[in-house]
Amino acid sequence: MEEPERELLARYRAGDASALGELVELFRRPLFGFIFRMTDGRDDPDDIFQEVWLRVIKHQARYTHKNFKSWLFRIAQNLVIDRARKQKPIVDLQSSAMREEENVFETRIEDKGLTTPAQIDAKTLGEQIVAAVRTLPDDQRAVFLMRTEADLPFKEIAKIQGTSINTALARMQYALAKLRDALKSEYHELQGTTS
Amino acid sequence: MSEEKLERLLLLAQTGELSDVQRKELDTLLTQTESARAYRDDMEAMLSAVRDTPLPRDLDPMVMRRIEIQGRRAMNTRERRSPVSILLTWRPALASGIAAIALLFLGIRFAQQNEGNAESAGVTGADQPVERMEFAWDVEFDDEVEDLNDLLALAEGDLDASLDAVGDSEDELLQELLKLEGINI
Repeated sequence: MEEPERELLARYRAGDASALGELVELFRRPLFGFIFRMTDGRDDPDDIFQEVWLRVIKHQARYTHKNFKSWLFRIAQNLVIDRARKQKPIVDLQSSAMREEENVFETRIEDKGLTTPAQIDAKTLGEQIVAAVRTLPDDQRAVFLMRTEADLPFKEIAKIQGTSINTALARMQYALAKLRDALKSEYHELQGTTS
Repeated sequence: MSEEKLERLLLLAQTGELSDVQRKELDTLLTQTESARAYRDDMEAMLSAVRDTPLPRDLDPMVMRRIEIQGRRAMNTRERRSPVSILLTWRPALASGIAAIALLFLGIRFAQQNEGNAESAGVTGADQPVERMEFAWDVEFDDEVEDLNDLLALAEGDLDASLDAVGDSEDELLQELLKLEGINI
């Protein structure tokens, strides 16, 4: 069965402008999630997201890969790396990004009326895991987020990172080990809420 | 089986990248070992927690709008590009191609001309010079030469007549001078 993204891209190439909107929408959450969490919300993730799609539009005629999603995330990863290289660490942006994220999160809880302690605890736990993900080295974080946000298989992740499938797997395992260490108590709490 | 290997098999199982042998190995382990199942559940809980955690904010809707506008613009540009405009895009290459063809054409013409000259020079110089000259001169020229000869002949006739007239005058003058001296011829 043909993947929806291939069909949408074919429609766009054939002159159906609305197909592009559908294509962007199809990958909006995983792609924006990947970019946002790779950049810790810095470097304007909206701008990077837009740039990814502008490159897709520009180069779609030359696109011959089998896996569109892999191509998309490869572009995103390269842009994130480029931005990170250009970035100047003047202030502690990581902690400020975390503070910003916490503030926004609190606002969202208030907006949605999530006031029971259990709901707040569950959300906070999830946020703590995400915060722990920020402490991972870039290559491990990219593998972890490509698995969790984009649901990409290791074979594709390895291609995107230009490495072997064993290296991609090893990076994922290092990431999991570090997350377990960082979240020992919360991790067991999480088990209690999900079981 | 080590925890590391179990984790590796579990990760590959999630993405459907296990071989048949690995699949059987993992299934056996999960069926027989409680700790393996617990490890699998722990790992899945952690990954699910990350997946289920919402982002602090969503994408700015204006970004989606801008992408759609850019996509539409790119599509319109593609449609507008006629074969002529595509050719014009390649103007430098086109100009080079035309110049190359023109040079090639001139080169061929020049070579042919040289070959023809060499051939004609060989024939006139050795084999049949007179015939080649006759062939080379126009026939009307002969007529003109004849006309010129006629004119020369006429001129020569007038001169003779003039000289005869001068001669007669000289004789008469001499006879007058001799008469004055008393000599009769």
